[in-house]
Amino acid sequence: MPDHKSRVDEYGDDLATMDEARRATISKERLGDVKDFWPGFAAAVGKKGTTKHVRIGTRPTLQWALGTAGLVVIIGVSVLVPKLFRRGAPPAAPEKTAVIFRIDSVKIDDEPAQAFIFQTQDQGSTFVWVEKQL
Amino acid sequence: MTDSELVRDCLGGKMESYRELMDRYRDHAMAIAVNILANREDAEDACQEAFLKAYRNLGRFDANRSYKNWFYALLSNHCLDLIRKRKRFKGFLGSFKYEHPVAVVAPRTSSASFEELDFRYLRPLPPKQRTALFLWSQEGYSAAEIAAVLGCTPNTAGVHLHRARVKLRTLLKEEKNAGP
Repeated sequence: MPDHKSRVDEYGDDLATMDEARRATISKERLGDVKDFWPGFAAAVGKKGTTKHVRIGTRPTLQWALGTAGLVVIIGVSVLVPKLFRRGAPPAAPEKTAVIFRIDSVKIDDEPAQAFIFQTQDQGSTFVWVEKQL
Repeated sequence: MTDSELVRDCLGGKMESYRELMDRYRDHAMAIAVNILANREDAEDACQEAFLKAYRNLGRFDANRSYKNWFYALLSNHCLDLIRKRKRFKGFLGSFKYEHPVAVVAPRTSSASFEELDFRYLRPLPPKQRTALFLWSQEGYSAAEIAAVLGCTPNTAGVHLHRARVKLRTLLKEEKNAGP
């Protein structure tokens, strides 16, 4: 059975030192120029005028949710509307029935974002997930 | 002027005092948010929102306590909330029958790119461990001070820090064994 000191020393070998932790984390010096938050803050405060009515900007998650919901609606409409019209119309040529969905690029807050396109099992719906680039 | 004096002036309607506080903690705030979120753009958004939130809640600040710790606590909570919400949304995504996307649209890179930050040691750590590791190594915080920011007991803060250091050492060993 090792004594307390040897156990502590042994334990110490398994712990990152402060110097290693400093190198692994991001110091404020490594950030370089940091954005000035004052203009955004002043604009938000200026809208309502008082501290009690300061409105926190739309949260990113809400923006993603709204953006994604909007895309889903657009996709749904682009898939369903042509189907509804085709019901009453004479059968179209096969090459004209295909619905082409195309995304060239997506941005969130004016920054390039990554888009993932999912298709459900019945292939009748498409789901687009957009997230900020990591 | 001390932080408490600036807060007092600000509550008296002097907006320039809040600007002084923002300038004083802008870099610190970005550093803590970047370390928790492991993403620069998300950290900028979180800081912007946290400065607004802090301003709105200045009346609740106890002048006998450290403004820095109070603001750090508010900011880290905000960052942890963002991570929780994102996880819930990703959980919703996981409920789809096809787990893998049928197509991926590659992002177009921004022309005005900043220096790439290295998150390879941070991303494997849970957010609270990242926070504890950052506050300990970069800010020299004790377990009790980390606890004040994370809103937990000093023992729990110590556990977060200990686990972070163990995980980091493992990652460093793995990297060393993998060679150049």
